[in-house]
Amino acid sequence: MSDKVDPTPEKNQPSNSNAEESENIAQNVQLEQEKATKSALTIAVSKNTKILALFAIACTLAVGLVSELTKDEIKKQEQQHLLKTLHSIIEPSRYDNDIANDCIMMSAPELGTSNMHTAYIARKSGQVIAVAITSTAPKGYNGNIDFIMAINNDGSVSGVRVLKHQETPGLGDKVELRKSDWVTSFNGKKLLSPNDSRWAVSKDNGMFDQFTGATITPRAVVEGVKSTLNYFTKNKGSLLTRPNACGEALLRLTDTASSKQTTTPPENEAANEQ
Amino acid sequence: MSNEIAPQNSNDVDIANKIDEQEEAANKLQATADLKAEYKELAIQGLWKNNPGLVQLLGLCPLLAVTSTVTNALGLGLATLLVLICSNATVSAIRHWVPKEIRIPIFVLIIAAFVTCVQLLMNAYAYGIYQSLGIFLPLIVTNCAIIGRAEAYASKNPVKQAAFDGLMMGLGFAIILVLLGIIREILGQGTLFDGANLLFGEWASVLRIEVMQLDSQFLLAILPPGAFIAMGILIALKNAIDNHIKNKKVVDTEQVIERVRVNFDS
Repeated sequence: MSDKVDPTPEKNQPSNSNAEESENIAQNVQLEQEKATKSALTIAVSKNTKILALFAIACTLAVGLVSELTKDEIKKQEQQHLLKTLHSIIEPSRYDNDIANDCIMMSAPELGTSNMHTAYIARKSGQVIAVAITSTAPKGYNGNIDFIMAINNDGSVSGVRVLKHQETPGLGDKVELRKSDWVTSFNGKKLLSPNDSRWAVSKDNGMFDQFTGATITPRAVVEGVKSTLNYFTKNKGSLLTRPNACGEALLRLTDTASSKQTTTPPENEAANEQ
Repeated sequence: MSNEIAPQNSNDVDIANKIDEQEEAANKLQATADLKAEYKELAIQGLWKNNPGLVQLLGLCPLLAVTSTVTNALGLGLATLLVLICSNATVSAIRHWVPKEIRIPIFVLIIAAFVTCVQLLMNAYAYGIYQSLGIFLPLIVTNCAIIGRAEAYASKNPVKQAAFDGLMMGLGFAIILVLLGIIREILGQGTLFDGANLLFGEWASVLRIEVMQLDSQFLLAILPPGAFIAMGILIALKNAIDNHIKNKKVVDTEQVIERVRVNFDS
């Protein structure tokens, strides 16, 4: 019994190898198909990537071209807008210099933020007539109120204009000249002392009106103007001796610096203000 | 042997040619009529039936934010109109070369490029309105009305029709902006075209009209809730007009009575 070998496996042997072979073939076919699919996918992805890149380049070129064509006009518009603002707070007949290109840069907590602020200097025959300082009133109802104020040589206010704000339309936006003439109430006003109590809104027993239904906005502007005026009065001497930081003068300075290839240390703000 | 039957004489040839010419002319006329009908339909869709502001309710963010004055509304309306025309025309022109899978990013690229160009041009030639519109100018990129038209119409139609569709959709949007601006400016400030000089230059200061003298501004009209209410009123008005037209049509069809003559004579 034990000598007898079951013939069935022998018969099945070739069919087993056939099955393995067909399995291998099937696997190979599957691998080929996967490869083909992957390569098709890779081709599609790379093609799409190229097309997308091409469009991105085309769009960038178009925007770059328009930017290049409008660059000078934008600069001109910004300059005109600045001059218009400056003319509204310092009478153009009072000075004879190029006010937009005669300025100094400064940074101080009294100016509302730690950002750099610009002061434009109006001169007549070389003598300083007035200075227009950009400043910020940080306590507005909806955040910062950026303004520019002109201060005469005698310390009186020549004019104030709000440049940017997020105050409530119809309430706080009366700080804009086109909405109300409230902002002109600063004209000609002076600080009698650093803590002049008159510089407040009427609700705080001051000399400036507030708006109906809005006290926070005018209070913030009055505080901002007072703080800026205080800062200028205190540091007038050191501020006006600073080098020009605007326009052609600045370009000349940077050209000289680059030709000498030297790095100058930044100005010490604190030292200048002492 | 040829199957073709030779014409009997030159007269037959002339007649055949004339018939062909007439058919061609008729086809041309039909094509022109179809095109006119298509343009008319596009105009009706853009301005009334499928208005982006009133019907699709797209681009509501700038629609409600910048319409406190007519000048601002007109500025944004013109900017959106320009972007719609240009993006539609461009999308239509490139429709055969853009694979389906990446069409949306390409459309966004095109729209963003045009918006940036419009922004730069406004910065250069309409500085006042550029400052006045602020963030809402670059936000035109996210206006669904623009990408919607690019996807739904421009990517499937020829350039002329696509550009015209952009023009009509843009006009429809601009008209709603201006209407809202008129309502809100009159009620809120009692003026019309206040700050027109920001958009058109210094000469336009004369366009400012004092409609009524207000002791204090009507805040609701100026603030965003007022914009929502005004918008709701405009939508309700449009729906009322549509219903009125629909009812009128029903009445008209009911009134048509067919007269039948009955003859009893044998």
